[in-house]
Amino acid sequence: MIVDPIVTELRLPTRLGFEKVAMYTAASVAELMGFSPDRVDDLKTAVAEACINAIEHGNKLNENLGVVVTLSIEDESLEVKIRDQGAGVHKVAHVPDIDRKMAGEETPRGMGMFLIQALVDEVEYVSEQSGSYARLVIHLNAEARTD
Amino acid sequence: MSFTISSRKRDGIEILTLAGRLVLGDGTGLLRTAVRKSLEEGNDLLLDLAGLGYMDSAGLGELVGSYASASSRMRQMKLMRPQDRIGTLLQITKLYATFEVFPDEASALAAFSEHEQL
Repeated sequence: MIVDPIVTELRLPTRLGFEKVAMYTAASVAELMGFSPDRVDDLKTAVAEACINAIEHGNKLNENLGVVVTLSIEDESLEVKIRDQGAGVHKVAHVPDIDRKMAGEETPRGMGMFLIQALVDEVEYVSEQSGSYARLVIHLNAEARTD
Repeated sequence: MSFTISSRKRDGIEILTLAGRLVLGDGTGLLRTAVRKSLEEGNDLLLDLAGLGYMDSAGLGELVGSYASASSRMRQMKLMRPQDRIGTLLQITKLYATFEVFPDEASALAAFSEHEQL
């Protein structure tokens, strides 16, 4: 039997700082589902980074646009979609060249998408005519990330 | 909790104690200003991360930028006492292996001395 996901939706203004609202909401939902504290921390960081990307790079800080965060609880996983109204961010996570960054030869920023990819089980970036979204998924039965 | 920095000197090393959340905006700006001021005074830097509870990619980037600034001035910058979560982020980004990270102040200060003797 297919059960409809339980959905929570947030509408955030395009203003830095409001990513925390999404971050803490995602944490509350993940805790309700029984994710371990470490996995909840991973999700918080990933959701915050994705929201910052949506605000900064998707909506380009245009306060006339919004960010919609949709959290869908399924049987064994939590899906978080972070949707902006901009043209979209890079679709492939940039693997930072740490040596070049440490040498000052590459911008020290630009680790957000790499972090997201490392912290959740699935990541997808989709661009549509009306905007773009990042889709993050963590699975309850996934092995804890090994460092 | 917002981000704070306090500083003190020991054995000629400036120790910057970071506390709170190092994230895009005020926190990263505050750290950049403190590091720049210290480097302009010709100091080596030891960043105490024991009170740092959260850091985002902008915070990580600020640490990298601080290290690059120190290196370009021929100064040293090391880290000590990261909480588990911060240590995890440093490991994910491969920064743990690149930064010199110490579990306590004594071993960190000793490493500065060893570097001077080389």
